[in-house]
Amino acid sequence: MAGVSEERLAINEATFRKVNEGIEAGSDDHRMAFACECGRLGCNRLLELSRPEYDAVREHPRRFFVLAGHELLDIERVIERHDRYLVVEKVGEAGAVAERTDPRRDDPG
Amino acid sequence: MEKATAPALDITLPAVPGAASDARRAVHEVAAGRVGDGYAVALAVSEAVTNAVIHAYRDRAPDSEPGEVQVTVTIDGEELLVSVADEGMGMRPRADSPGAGLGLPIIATLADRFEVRQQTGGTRLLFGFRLTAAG
Repeated sequence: MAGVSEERLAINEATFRKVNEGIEAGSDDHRMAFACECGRLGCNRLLELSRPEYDAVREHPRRFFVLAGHELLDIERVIERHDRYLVVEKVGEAGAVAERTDPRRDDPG
Repeated sequence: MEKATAPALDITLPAVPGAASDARRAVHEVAAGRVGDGYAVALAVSEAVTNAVIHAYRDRAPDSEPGEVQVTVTIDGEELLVSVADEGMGMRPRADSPGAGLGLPIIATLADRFEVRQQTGGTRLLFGFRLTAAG
């Protein structure tokens, strides 16, 4: 991802988080398709999570879920490895952007 | 999110490439002057209908009748609410998905409210835009 700033990557991931919040809002309790939250421009992959799995990630404003191989180790570290997805946590400036844009905050920036 | 308001627009289109532009024009006529940026509503609708055309009925044989996509716009005292619904196979992970994957992010960014309902027999996108004071 050379040439792409940490902030830009973090904003990309925050945008996909916003998409997934919309998916979660319309979902029931069975496994749903969510968009991969990696920051790669052009990633259009979907992955399936249950609502509890989704909410467990969303409880932490710096955490996102991505497909294996889509993690960006310059701006995040892998927290959990599951069969269908990885949970990553943003660090540095990317972490600050993730917190600032968290739609579950009272006043997301 | 939905209210029992008579729709200002309710059209059903065949899920073919031209449907996106037809829906865009129809919705813009309703949205213009009612929301801050009618073109933003039109763009969001275009992306939603394009998603339905590309993804919803991909399990059907190429020579079969096209599926349908229904576009509804309702207006209440506070917002213009757009619904784009198909009766296709729903959102499913696929390794060979065409497109840039930017349709839903564009809609979520443009709209004030955004929701995806993955239901038995199709997908429904709902997105709302605040009305301007004069709307």
